[in-house]
Amino acid sequence: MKPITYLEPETVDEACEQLDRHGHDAVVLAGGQSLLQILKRRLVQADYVVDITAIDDLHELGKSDESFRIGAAVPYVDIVQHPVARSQIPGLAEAIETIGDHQIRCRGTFVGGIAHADPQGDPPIIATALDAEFHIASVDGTRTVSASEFYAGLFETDLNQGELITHVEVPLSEDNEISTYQSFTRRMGDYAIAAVALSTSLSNDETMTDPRVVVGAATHGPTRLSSVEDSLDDSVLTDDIIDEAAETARENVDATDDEVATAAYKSHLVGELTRDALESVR
Amino acid sequence: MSQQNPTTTVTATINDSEIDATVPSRYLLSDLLRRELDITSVKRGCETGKCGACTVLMDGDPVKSCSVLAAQADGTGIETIEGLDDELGEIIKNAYSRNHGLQCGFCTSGFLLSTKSLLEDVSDPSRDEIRERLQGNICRCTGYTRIIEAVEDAAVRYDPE
Ligand SMILES: Cc1cc2nc3c(=O)[nH]c(=O)nc-3n(C[C@H](O)[C@H](O)[C@H](O)COP(=O)(O)OP(=O)(O)OC[C@H]3O[C@@H](n4cnc5c(N)ncnc54)[C@H](O)[C@@H]3O)c2cc1C
Ligand code: FES
Ligand code: FES
Repeated sequence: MKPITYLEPETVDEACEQLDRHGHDAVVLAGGQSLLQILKRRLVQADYVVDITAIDDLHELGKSDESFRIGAAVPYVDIVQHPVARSQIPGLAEAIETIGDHQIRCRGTFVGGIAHADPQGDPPIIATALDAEFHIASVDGTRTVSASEFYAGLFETDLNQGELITHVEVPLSEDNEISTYQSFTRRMGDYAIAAVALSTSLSNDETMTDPRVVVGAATHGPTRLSSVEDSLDDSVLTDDIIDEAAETARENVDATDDEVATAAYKSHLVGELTRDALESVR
Repeated sequence: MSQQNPTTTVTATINDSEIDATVPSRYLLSDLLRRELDITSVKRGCETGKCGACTVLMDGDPVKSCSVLAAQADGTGIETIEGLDDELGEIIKNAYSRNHGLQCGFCTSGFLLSTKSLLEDVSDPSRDEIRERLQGNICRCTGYTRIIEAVEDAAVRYDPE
């Protein structure tokens, strides 16, 4: 790693000032599980590393009004142990449990995974399915952006230089709202080859309303499958409906081709994962 | 940059002794432990966060010391296998030895520390829980079966209260 100056602000304002002052030369450090690998390999050059984990406000985790708030300094392990996350947002816990390994989850943060925007990363995919909102701060003030607006393609996001995501809010479901995360990896803990996240309202007679079906890892960033959503909206979850949704997902996903797997194989996986997702909420 | 190689002062408790070290800010926790403090039981395998040979406990949580800055360890308590001399530590070391849970030993410090963190959280883990919690540690020699047996043996002998 090249020499760095390590900065440890104690407030969001102080962090924003440092990011503003050092511009291109500064980078945010959260859990460091991705950033430190990149700095070691010199894929990113940064003279100033702004560690945001000493900022008390960013350690918030829990229910706030109608949503579940996750601060930027909260590691993955704390989220999956939180009773509200476990009981009301099962898809979030399922997604986090597939990330890396226990050591990575002890340090890595969900918000870091959101900001890192790796197309193979799990947080962007589940955040999009849950319709999460990202709260962003800079010296110019604060703003909020939805997950779907945030991701703009391969490693591209709506985050500008000098901005910091302070926390993420996941809307808390009505009682019948349900979510799940299904992914396929070659080995436990690997990055996914394909993933499907689903969130929906489900009535007692298994009728779905407003389903959100998001595919990722197989695509250039998280992508909603609107054709599948349309086929499921206001439908009862029967075998036929599930078969049809899986087939629609397979046909409509715009999967990437790479050295790991062909687009045809990934499309097949997306179909099967869509089926798994629907069967798991049934 | 104005300064050639900026430094950071790290104050931490390492295996019950207080340390106060001034190191280059780019030092990883593994650099602090190995280069500055000569604790070479902390191994460097991949340096990319994958192998777990560099695992240490930081305030009780297992972390990969190649993926934490030394500066981030300021104010924390770090444990390496040199600190595994309490009852649970002895039980774990003896269980690995008795069950042939090691061969070349390169991965062993990391496995012992991951095992300690597991047994402190779950005193009677299932095989699946053991596999899941040791997934971040790679062993190229044993084929894992003996390691899992060692952890099961340690769990049987360990009585938290
Ligand atoms: C061996 C290994 C396996 C992994 N496996 C997976 C996996 O299966 N699935 C997966 O999703 N991830 C995986 N990861 C990545 C892991 O989830 C990272 O922890 C996560 O992507 C980033 O979180 P972090 O807190 O470590 O962020 P950092 O590494 O500190 O930061 C990552 C990037 O985000 C920026 N950033 C961080 N926080 C903010 C913020 N609040 N505002 C603005 N920018 C910010 C940083 O500047 C940096 O560019 C793996 C990592 C390793 C080393
Ligand atoms: S050396 Fe740290 S994980 Fe391999
Ligand atoms: S004993 Fe040799 S790598 Fe595990």
